Amino acid sequence: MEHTRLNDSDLAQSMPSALQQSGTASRTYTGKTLVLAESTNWSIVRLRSNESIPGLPDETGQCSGGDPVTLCLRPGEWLSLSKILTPQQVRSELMSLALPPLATAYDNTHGLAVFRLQGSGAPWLLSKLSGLDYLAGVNSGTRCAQTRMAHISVLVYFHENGAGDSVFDLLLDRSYARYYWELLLASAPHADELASTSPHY
Amino acid sequence: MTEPARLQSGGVIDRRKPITFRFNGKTYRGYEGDNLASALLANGVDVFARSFKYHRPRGVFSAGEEEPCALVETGEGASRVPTCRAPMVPLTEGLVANSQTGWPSVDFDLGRVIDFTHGLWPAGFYNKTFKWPSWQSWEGLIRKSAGLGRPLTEPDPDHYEQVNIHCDLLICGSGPAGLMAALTAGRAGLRVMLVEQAEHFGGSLNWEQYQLDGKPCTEWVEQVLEQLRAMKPVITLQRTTVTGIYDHNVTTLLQRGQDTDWRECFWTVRPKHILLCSGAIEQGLIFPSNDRPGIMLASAVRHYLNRYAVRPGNRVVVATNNDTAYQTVFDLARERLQVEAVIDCRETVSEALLQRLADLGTTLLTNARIRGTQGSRRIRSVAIEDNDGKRIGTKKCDLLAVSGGWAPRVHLLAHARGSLRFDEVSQSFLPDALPREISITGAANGTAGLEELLAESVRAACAIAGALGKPMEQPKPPIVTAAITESRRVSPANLDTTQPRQWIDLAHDVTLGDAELAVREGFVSVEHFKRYTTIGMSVDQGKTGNLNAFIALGALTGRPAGEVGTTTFRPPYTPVTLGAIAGRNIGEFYAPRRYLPAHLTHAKLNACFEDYDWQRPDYYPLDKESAEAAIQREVTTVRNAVGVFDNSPIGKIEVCGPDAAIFLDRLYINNILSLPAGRIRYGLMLNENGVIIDDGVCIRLNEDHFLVNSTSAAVSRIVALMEQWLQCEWPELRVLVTDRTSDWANFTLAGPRARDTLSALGTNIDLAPAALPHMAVSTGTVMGLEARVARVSFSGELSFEVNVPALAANDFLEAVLIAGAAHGIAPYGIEALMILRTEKGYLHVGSDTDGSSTPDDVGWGWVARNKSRDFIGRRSLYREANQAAGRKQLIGLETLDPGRAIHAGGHLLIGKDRSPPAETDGWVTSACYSPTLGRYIALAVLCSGPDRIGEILTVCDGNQRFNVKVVAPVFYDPENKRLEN
Repeated sequence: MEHTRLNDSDLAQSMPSALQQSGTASRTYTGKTLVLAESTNWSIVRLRSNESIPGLPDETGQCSGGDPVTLCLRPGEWLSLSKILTPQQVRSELMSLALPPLATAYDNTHGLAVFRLQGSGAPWLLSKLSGLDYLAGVNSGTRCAQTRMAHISVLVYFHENGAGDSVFDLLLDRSYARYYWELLLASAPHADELASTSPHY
Repeated sequence: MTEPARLQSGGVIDRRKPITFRFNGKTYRGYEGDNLASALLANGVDVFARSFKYHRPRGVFSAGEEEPCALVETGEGASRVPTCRAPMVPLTEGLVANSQTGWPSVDFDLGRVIDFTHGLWPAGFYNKTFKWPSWQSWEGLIRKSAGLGRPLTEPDPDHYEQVNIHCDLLICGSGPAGLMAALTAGRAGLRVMLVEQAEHFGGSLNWEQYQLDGKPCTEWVEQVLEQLRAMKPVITLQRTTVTGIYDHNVTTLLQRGQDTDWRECFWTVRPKHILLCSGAIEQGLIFPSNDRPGIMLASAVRHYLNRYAVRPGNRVVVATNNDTAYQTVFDLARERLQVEAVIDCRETVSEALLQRLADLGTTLLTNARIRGTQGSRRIRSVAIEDNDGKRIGTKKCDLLAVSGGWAPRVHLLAHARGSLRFDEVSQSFLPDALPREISITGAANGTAGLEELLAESVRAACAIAGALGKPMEQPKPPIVTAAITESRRVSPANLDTTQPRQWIDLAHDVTLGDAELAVREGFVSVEHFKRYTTIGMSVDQGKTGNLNAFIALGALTGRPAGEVGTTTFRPPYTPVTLGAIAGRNIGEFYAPRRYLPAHLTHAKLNACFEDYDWQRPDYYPLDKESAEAAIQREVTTVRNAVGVFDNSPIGKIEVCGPDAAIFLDRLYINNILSLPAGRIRYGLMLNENGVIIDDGVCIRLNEDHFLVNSTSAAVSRIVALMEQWLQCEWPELRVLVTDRTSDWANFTLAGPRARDTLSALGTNIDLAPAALPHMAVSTGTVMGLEARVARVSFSGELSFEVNVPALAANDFLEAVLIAGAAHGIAPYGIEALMILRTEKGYLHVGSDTDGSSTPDDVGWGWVARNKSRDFIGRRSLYREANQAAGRKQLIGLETLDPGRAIHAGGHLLIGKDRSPPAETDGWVTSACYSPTLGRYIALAVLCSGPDRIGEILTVCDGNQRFNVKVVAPVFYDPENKRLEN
């Protein structure tokens, strides 16, 4: 199936310019088994340290907290995400922890785009782009993992939404967002097909 | 009469759905459920192709992917697919297929003359003959007359998908062994993938006449599939070939689409365990002229008869060295087809078989073999002799069903480095030592007899389930009723090595005579033997011929087959379309595209984008302006007013910590320790060989906090390099490195009116020269946005690099253009930037440097020499080669004729009016027309360049030769007065 590559002129002029950049704002794809959309209004703060920090998950892939939720990307690096707090508030919360002498927190809100993927076809779509075991993730609790999809570094944050549905939040460098969106759209129909033919896997 | 060879009833084809297709320009009819081979056989087609070397007529030999003879091309135009095995092509409405060998046609091929002169074309003839006047004189003709298939010239119109998947157990093959194992493992709750390469699950159960639990085996297959499909963690894939097993048991599958918008899907599977249930491939017999159309594997005859209701012949002779071929006799008799004789090279056969043959009135000749065959387009008769060579007689026939034993499909095991051993009973190579997490059952493991095979699969699946933490009780396999009790006993080969024209490898036209020649010439190791004769090197990988080849080699060299050994099977098991491997990574998805944070505004400004990894504006033409005019206008605007350039891709690597300064001081040749807070220093980074790998500016925000602006193309590489040194070499340093390139948008305002424009935007940063001098940085707000403003210049003009949060980029750029309108602002792109920096003689790493450039070569050697502390690459700068005289070093060039164009890449010869051939003395690295200077200028590297200022050189620029003068590499404002405005 051919998909239409986004043209600059397709984008609504009235969109807030902050969201126009990636060209994906307010766009949603709804397939038979999956829903894909850009997820906006996140505050994202990256915390770096050379030691573990009490109160934060210390194993790669672990997540803790509600909002903000903190993801452990690797030893000494965490990402805190919030839909409620501003980046400054998230940063303040992090800086109020018992931090070691060498620690620093940066506002990553501008630099990262977030896509949200839901539905039974979601793990299949991700399986088309990277080799992690997304289909097992449904039973393995909230977690995160860094991987590469089409040469792009993507952080996959798996969790449940308020309604108990499984959700994959994909965080990546905002400069790749538009290309990555087009790639997801191109891959979605086959993911739908796979989910439909193997619904129980 | 259509379909003269189709039985009136039977088979699992759907006679309610006829299908029309074309082969070699003729229209035929088949049915849904047919494949191309079965449909053509039903229509009485004898000759499908011509053989690879000798152009002998060839029919269908087998019924599966091992087919060595019936190779055709399907489709037309861009959808043409060469070298398809006819039994593997599903019949579809409107299918177009053609023979791909034979000229002018497959029925009458002039190339047959090669067969009549076969003595000139033994194995390896190209190493010995066709030498005069040269091999190249003959090569084209020889290549044209051999070969299989024509490559496509049009782009592939289809698209392909890819999937990654994990499972507990991957079962390769859905014959009885695979189905039984899948059922057992599925019941244990394992995540199972069952993969079958054929159109239908069930393997041999689709054509053999067993009964399982009192039901026809096809019915049992359907019931098992129904159960599997209802099981949650089980995936079943048909039309899917396991193409290879790789490191850590990563396995690839190629799935063929049917009624899908994708042609093929390439799966990469990461199983915890692999169970190979891949079955076995029947082998042919070696005898003179054993390649004629109408000679077919005995199991293939049963396959076409039972599954497709095709009668491959009317008068049949069966030749065998084992029991399994007798099932063919009984199936043919069931359809009232005359079996003229059974020729068995063994001394005796079992009483049960003797009795059944007697009941049918079928002649059995034991201790006998085929002496030769007759027939051109189809076999007409066979000549028979006893094993001592005494003639017995002749039988007329139009079908010769042969069975030379069974070779287990151990290809995938070989991919995984499993070992094999030769079994004397079955005369085949069986699995020996298995790799970790791989098991093998059924005929692939040499197991004969359906009952034993099913039990073995159950045991294997239970063992795997237990090993994976899901133990279970062994279920009972179904009760089997079979026509004959199969034994594994195969008679050893009894080759008459005096007859050369006995085919061993049908696909590559390799005969026993070729094998004997190879041995005579000393190629006795199996690897040499294979490569000299090309046995097993065709598209079938020797699936029906390798076993016989190794046995023949043993016979010719007086060694047992076990001592001869085998060659190594390597992936892919069957050919894989390149499109499937590429998947979606083609065209617009070949490489990722990055967009600037202000991309939309650039687009509104009519920017012409170019791919620099980021999509970046090259220039901004107004109205109908040409590229050249736009670029020159942009350069002039920067020199005389103000320009704005989007430099967002530039690396913004934050380095912080108490030891940040020490760390950066070790990375750069420059003195970073002495850099005050709020100041900026240009630096060069070297590798351990002293070669320049990056340049950029290092900004000290405060005592422990730096911002490194690496080149945009090198950001991730430099971050990785920093992490590597920190983690591996200097873990004691208290430093944190974070890439923040995409967090900030970066806009450069350059030109005499840059300060005015920035002020008009509104900022709380003091922009006065004293407060913010060249190579200084300040933080504050611009237009109400958090901002970092740096006085850095890559143009040679007064310049401010303004960093603002990325999401504000579009608004900010628009505001800059509004604020600068009164000052004559214009956006400028990469092309203009390159001209500006060339005029100024500023280095561009990668253009003006290469893999050998050191700081001395670009005029920065004095910085490295003056630094007493160590830095990466310092020691290498003292190597003899890096200090040698005559190194190519950076200089400027001016054409003697100012209007004469000069281009990057042109080679330099020292002296006026020189001509090649000569050793190059250097080359032009950057070149442009300078609107500022009104002439062409260039940067170049030249042997001892700085010592040659004022000399005249010759430039070899394509076909042109002209003279240039060596000048200092700074053409514009050498005193840097413009930087302070």
